[in-house]
Amino acid sequence: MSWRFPKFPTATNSVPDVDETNANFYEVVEEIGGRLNEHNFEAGTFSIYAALDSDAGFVFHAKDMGAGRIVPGPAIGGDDTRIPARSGWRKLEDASISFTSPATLLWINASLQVTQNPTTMPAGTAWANDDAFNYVMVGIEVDGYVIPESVIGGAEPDNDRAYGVIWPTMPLATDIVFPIGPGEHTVSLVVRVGAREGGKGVHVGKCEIICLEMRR
Amino acid sequence: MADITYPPVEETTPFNAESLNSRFSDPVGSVREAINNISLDAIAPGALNQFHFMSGASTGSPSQSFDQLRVGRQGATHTYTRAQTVASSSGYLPFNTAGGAGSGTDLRLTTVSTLDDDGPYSGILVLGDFHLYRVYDPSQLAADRYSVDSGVSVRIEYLNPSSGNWVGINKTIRWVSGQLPTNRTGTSDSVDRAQQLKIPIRTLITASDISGGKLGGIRAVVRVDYDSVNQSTATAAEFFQCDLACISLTSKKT
Repeated sequence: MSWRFPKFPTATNSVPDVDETNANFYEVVEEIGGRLNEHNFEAGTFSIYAALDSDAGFVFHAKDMGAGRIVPGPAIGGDDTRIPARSGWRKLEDASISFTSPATLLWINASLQVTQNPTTMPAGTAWANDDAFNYVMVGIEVDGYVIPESVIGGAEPDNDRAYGVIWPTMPLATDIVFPIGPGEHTVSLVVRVGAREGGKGVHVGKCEIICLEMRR
Repeated sequence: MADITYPPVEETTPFNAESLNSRFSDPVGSVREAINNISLDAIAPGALNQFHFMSGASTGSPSQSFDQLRVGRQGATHTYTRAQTVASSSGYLPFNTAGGAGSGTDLRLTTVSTLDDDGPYSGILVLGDFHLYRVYDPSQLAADRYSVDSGVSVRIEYLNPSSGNWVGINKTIRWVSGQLPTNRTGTSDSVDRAQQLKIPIRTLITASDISGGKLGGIRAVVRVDYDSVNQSTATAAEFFQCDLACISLTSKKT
């Protein structure tokens, strides 16, 4: 405690006084009857294992599409997501989650696998790109708003047809720490593909989104 | 806000042990009862901070941070070949300071040993970054070394403490491939350049991802894929720096 107690200690052979006795207790009662602050709790008092609810520190929400989708080798599944060239932001339903939370900070991690290699795309589709490189942008959307600071990707076009590698297959990942208010929220991984002559789009394979509520 | 009232000793109240004790003990609404029933909202916002609570995250006990491979030049890459990965029983090789030979130190972390949705640990957040210098066929001429079908796959594995085997978590598989425009007219400067791509893995491992909720560690492994028509098992992948981190979370999964 940060104050002296008792304020008027009773000395040997002294006569107790009513007002002083009351004053000895008023300060303590008023302090506790107000708001307890950091001075009222001893450092190290609480063990997070024993004293906290499991949702007091972190709560996480995660979604992924599991082990399916595009995997290395010729056995390519046909359920991958196609993002056409010149698209707007497209939400990946396999990496979109809704939850209710208090006001807190969210640490959002999102990752996905992208391919532009026509030889790995499902047979019979008209999605085979030529040897151009479609630039891909990836971002995190919170409640319908794409957070600019979360957007990664893009490309710097060369004066030749191709810039960068041809038919690239690559994983991408982005993350952001973002404050949210209390209530229901929807957090999604979004993708868009830039305009590129000859480019028809990209395929998205495995993807995962992780939302970590950092409540403390 | 706590509602604690101290009934003062009045001038007309007999001043004795009984009148003093009664302020704190039995009567309903007494100081003792009120203090023992302080409500949650009596705690001021921000009152409890890092000095009162230990972190909800634990970094575990990293046994290896791969310092030896934190370099940025070609001469310090570590290399894995298709032949080496084929020879491996799982088809994957652990990232190792000595490359595919495996004679160095693996990129491996020690974590908590049990995951349970009810706690105390319900998830491990894994963050890995693997910087690929190039995947190519060194047996080919420079202009033909890079095939679009040559690639490299990376995934996260956990150690099953019961069997002693490393088990892959397939949702974490990420892979890269890409051909450089070496055959295009007017791009001779591009011959024998490297892809230089980063392979990021961000995943959350929970009890449902591992057998019996038990694990003995986390590691990252690599596989070299190749174009079986045009290239050979000499296809090799060279990496620069590789980083692996995991955070064990005292948390609740929803």
